[in-house]
Amino acid sequence: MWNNEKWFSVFMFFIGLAGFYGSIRLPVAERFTLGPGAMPLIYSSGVVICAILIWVLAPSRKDASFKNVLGRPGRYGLIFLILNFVLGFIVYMVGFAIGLILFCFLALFFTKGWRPYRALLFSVAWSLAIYILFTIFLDVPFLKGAIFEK
Amino acid sequence: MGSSEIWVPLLQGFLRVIDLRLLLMCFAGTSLGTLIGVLPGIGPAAAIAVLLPATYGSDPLTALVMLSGIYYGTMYGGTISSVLINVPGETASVVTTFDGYPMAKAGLGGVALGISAYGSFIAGTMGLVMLSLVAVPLSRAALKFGPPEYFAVMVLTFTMIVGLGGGNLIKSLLSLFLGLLFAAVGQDVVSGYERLTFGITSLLDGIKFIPVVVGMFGLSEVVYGLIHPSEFVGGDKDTKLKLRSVFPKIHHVRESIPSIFRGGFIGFFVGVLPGVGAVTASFLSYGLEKRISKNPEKFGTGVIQGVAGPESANNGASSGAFVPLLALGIPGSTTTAVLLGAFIILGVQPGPRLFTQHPDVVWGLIASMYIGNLMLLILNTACIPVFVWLLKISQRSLSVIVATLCFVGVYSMENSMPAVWMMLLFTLLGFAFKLFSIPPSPLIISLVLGQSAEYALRQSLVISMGSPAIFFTRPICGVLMCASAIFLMIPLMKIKL
Repeated sequence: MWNNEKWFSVFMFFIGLAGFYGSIRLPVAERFTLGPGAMPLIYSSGVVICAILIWVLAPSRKDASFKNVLGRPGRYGLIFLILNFVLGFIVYMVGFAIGLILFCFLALFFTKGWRPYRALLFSVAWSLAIYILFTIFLDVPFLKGAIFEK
Repeated sequence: MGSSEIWVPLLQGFLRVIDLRLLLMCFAGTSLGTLIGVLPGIGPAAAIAVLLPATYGSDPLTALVMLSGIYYGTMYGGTISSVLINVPGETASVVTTFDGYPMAKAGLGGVALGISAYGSFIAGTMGLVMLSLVAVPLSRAALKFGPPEYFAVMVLTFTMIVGLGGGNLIKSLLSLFLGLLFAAVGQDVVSGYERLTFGITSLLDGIKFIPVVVGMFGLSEVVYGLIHPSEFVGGDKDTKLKLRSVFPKIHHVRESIPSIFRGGFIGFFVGVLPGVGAVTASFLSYGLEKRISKNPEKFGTGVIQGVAGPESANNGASSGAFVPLLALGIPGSTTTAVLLGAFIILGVQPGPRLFTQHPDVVWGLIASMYIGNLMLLILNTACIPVFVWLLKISQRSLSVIVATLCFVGVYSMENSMPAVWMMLLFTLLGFAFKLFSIPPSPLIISLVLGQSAEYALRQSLVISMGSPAIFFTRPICGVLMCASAIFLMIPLMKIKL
């Protein structure tokens, strides 16, 4: 029976294969010593073998149903994870300041159940604190975003 | 070894640290460490990695005083949430819940916290004295090490992490090989060949460990915490804390002192070993206390020795973990691996030459740890209500605070977004590791040591004109290799197919 652990072992198997592919053309031996391709090949073999063993030994149990995964806590975790990736994309457009405010607001509203005005107040205050700390005190040049750079 | 080689430099270290800025950094580090220990959701490894960029521009000692303070401060702070709400803020404090929480329910929470703080202080200081005594001779012995010995030490570290880390051997090996594979990404250190970059230019410098640590130990913990929330929401009404009781009575001290010393010794020696660390030390100490107790059946119902021993052990272990880190440049745990990275980023290479090349930094750091322990004793007795209050108010916004700090901290490392994307990818991997019970520590340690291990191996083969016998004909090497084989064999013999 296929379950998430087996799928994960398949993913690891392909990571191992990618390691093989990435190092197969490199020399495996040099004068008296190993070449740059030798160790990646050994490590990739290790990953592939472990992935196969995990696949073989993975317990044949059914995973929690999709409905359970999308229960309230699971949904909150999923939303939070997605919001992190969204933040990664939107900083290119709106920059760090607005991006952080948006992320905090959406995360507090959707995953923690804050009221909108409280979530917005906290988001602005916290993002401002981070912005001041990193840009003024630590001199980190935050992205301004494509919209504000024009 | 004369006193001039240990005590005089240590005294100079104290003189160096008695400086307002350094004392403030020490206080900031230990306070942050206690807070991180109290709060479930972020561990010391991710906290140090996130705060590392905040130390850029300061001198290495100032930065290391703060970052190390976070590490050993966490060991103290984990007790507070373990005792008062039965939720360990840090894995090394899991054992404390067994007897600490029942004590709190019986109205003895203050006694449990007080004894933990005093025990942690005594064990931490004992560990520091032993660290001061052991590190210099060990580093001097390590000066005789060549590439083969270094390679053997690293192999021993890998096998101990896999063999003694507990859990499934195959999953630990997968984590180890994956870390080694990731460490090989980038330009080859010997030949300059591009390896495993697949044409992506941002991978030419290799996979940086900070995004990996923050992703796997910071963000993925937050996501996992949202999906599996702890039962604590706003405070446990069953536990009663009277601040006056934080100062224990004489009979409590008399009952705990032997456990504190036993825990301190166990913790230090276990902490020195790679791969075992504070969690194992606290469990070992609890097991020992239970075994030698006249009333072992009472353990788990609120026995003071069940709190004093493990809490002392995890603090002894945090001092012990600095021995291989400072003397050999070998980290024994994820947090010390991050600290090793911090040392290197700050321009200080830990290892045998550290005590001769940077005596002011290393002795200043050790001296700051003595002072930090004293600060922690005060913080963890007088300021407990502040931390409990912070624990209560942070529950509703902690995930957002941690995530934004992870995001901005990783970005500010190099002021670039590829590191942030790397962190997000490793968040997914870390989450998968948690779901399938794959230990992440072997991955982090092999990522940090992978390149050095490969370099040492290739150098050793050049020295021996290509013969691998060099690893068995040199005495130190031979012993270390045999020890590695034994550590790998132990779990193989117990494997359940």
